[in-house]
Amino acid sequence: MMKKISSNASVRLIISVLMVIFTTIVIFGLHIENSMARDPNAFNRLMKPPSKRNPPPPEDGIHDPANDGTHVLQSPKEQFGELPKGTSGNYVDWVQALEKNDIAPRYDVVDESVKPIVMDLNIVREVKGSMPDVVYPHKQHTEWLDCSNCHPAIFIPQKGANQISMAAIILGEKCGVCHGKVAFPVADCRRCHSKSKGSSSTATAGKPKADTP
Amino acid sequence: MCMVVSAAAGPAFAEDDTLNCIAVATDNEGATSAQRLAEDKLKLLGAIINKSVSVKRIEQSGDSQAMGLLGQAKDYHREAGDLIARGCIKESDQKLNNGLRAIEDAAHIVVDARYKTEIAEKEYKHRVGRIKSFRDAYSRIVAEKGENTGKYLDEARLDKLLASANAQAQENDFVQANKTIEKAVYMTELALSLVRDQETLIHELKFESVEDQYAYELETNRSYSKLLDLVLKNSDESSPTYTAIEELVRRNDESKATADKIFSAGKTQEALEYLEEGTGHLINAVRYTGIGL
Repeated sequence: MMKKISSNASVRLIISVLMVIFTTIVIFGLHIENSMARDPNAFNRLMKPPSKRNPPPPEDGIHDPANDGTHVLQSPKEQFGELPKGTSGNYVDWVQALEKNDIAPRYDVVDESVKPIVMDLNIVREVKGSMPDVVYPHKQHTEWLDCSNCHPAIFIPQKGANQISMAAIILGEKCGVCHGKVAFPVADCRRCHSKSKGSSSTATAGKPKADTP
Repeated sequence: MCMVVSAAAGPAFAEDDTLNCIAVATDNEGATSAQRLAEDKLKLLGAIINKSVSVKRIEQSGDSQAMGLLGQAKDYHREAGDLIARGCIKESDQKLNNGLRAIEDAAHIVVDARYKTEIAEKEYKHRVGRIKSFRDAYSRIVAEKGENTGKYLDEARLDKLLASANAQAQENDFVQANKTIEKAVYMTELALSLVRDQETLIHELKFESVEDQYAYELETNRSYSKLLDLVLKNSDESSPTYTAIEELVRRNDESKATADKIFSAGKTQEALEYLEEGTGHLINAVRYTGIGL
């Protein structure tokens, strides 16, 4: 009988301790979240759990909820549901969505019959050290953007004329004009650094015709 | 009058004296959401018709075609409102879309006066620069390949378009000049996409001279230095990380100063090594900030 009482008490004690720990974690977590949101230098402050991603326009902190037009906009969470998943931003892989014809955006604001001039040219940039070389695919970019978006203001269309460093990209220059702002961030190195050193084949489909140095 | 039928009772058809529509009662969540969206869209079209700058411009222009389209948009707006009031959501959406298109078409007819001059001129000059850059690139590529420039680009036609656009620009008709030069832009971009179709270019990290390599490394060092200046500016000076970063930046400054001195003495290869060492310190400093390079 005494042993039974002792056993029950132990169980109750364990449960109580677990509840205290759980409550502490919840409170602490909320505190951390609030602190992080306030501190601009806090690590991972912009990361949100899946349930809080892509809120409706009146609640996203970007659109003006007092504006009539905001409430007409489609809710991203509902509309993005069927699109290929991405790992950043609004968590949609827009390049894949276009390739699979899940979306058919207008290329020109005024004339909907205008189609893009798609340039299927890969540029492989050798990098220092052991990092794989960068493969830049024109095709996936020109399906979305006209040449004038980058050339000649950001990149001079000539070999050797453009020096790029990771610092420049993080500062918002070169590739960083878009990547990290409206296109995927540079957190996933292999997405661009995709050609191993010494590899003879090209990283993407396309007939390899190396230019003359 | 259209008859409102509960969706729960099963499908039924309603008839109206003036318009046939299938009205659905707002007793289910989907219908309520559709009604709400329609009402929001109605408000949007109303706001554009009554408050937008474009509509004011249309009214001031006196252009009969644009005014006609504006009148149509107002009619669509009124009809859509009637349909929503009667619960005819699908039909109201068609009216609203027509109204929005009518406003869009009207706005395109009445071009902003400022666009006709300042903005159009700026765009024209930008296009001229773009064509020159692309044409130079195209010429370079065909020369490298030993091909005929006329293979993908009709140079005579291109020159004719450029001359025509230039003449229009001289008369300050930049709107028309832009329309003309846009054809030339299309020709050069298409030629470039064809001449490089399905190719892979390798940009090797090879330099013609050590001096070129030194200049390259100097620019790399500068970019990392600029990034760290920004990081330090926004960081807490009392933190140990800040102290560590500052130390690495100081080491870079030392290495760079040594490199500059040796470079001036003509020992470029040795100077390059010091400079690379300095850049290495800066990269480590960037990693200290949490940026995974």
